[in-house]
Amino acid sequence: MTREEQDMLLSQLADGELGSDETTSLLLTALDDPELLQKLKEMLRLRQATAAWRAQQPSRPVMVMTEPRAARGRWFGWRLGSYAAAACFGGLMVLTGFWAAGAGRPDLPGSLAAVPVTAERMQQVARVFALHESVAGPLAWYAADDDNIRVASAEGSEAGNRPVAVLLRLEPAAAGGPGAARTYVIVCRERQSAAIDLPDDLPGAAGLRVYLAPRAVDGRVDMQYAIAVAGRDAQSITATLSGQRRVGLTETSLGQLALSDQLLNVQVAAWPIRESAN
Amino acid sequence: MTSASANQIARHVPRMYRVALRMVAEADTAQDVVQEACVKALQKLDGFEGRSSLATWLHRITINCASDALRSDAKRRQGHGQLQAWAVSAVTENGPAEAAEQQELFGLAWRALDDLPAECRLAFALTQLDGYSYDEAAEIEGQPRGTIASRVYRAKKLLLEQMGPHMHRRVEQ
Repeated sequence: MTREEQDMLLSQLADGELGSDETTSLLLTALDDPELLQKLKEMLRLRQATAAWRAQQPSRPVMVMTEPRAARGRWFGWRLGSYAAAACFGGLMVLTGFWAAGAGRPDLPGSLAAVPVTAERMQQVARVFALHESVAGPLAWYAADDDNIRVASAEGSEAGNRPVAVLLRLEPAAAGGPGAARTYVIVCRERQSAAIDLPDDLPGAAGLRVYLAPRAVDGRVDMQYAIAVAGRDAQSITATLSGQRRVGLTETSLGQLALSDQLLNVQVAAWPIRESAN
Repeated sequence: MTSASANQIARHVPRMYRVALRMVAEADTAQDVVQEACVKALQKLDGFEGRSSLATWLHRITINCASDALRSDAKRRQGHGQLQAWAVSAVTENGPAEAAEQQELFGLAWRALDDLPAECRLAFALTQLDGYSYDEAAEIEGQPRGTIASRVYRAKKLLLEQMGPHMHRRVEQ
């Protein structure tokens, strides 16, 4: 092999374009050849110099949807807001369908029925998450109940982490107790902790703070979690629940939160989102 | 249109944006170009026969939209020089010392790009700036992968020769 051919391979190595065998072989050669090693360092430095450029993203969301265009204006940035609203509304409609589909299941208050998450629900959650990403760009997390949708933009490399869906359900432990059961759909990123504040109408409570740090293992999810309920009359946290559990598609009890004079059951199901499910 | 096809296209948006930005040299215009390209892609998706990859197809649509944008607004034809200043100011995500060094290197490389043979400059831009793989760049240019690898290498060699003193100084540090 000529020096020129070897240098060309170095160039491909710096760009990650060589197979693992060729990469290993060339690296071993370079380690024993100071001139080759110097060239590799220069190639890598040149590659690194353009890395920030390759990470450039649009500063505002690009709508990937086919809406009829009323006027054939070339520049239609001003329409982004209405596109975003339309897409979010679409997301809400899908979610409404999602909750409606869940209404028929046997979940009497106070029960700890282990209800498996269906393939249809998994697909719906994946679709809604993808829909919001198409509107808002890469997301660090997304959370929704039947009143609110919250999203947080991803920063840096976290957008590349695999999304994990978490179905969190809080319901009064006593049948007929005050307050209704609440279900939250949360999608966050693997190896990226998410702290999410959600408003709530639990009696005596002002809000709910959920901390999740999930990791997919064999189709299930190893999850560190903390759930805190903030009291309405004080700034302090009134109830907390934390721990680490491996959960899957069947709703699992995380325990109970003692809030004012009632107990809330906390149940959770989780699954890694496959890209093909979108 | 299905959400799946929208999602397919959405995954290519960052790269389409970089292609557009490189061509039109203005972030807002590049954003509009990508938006236009996405709408066109979705409208034409039924006619996409899969003879080329989706990446290549979207690249061509983006190039066409960017060319239209350049034609429609001659004052935006300032191109390279304006983009260079913008790009250098944008490369500031690391610590101050590293950012300053990367800015300097990137600025040097960007200036030196103008002096490269056209085919080398395009191969370098596709793979090092836009983020296409060698295979994708080969498909876009209609050349064998080996030709792309050779052009990218020649571009790097010429750039390194021009940037030589700066590169050596830093590598030795």
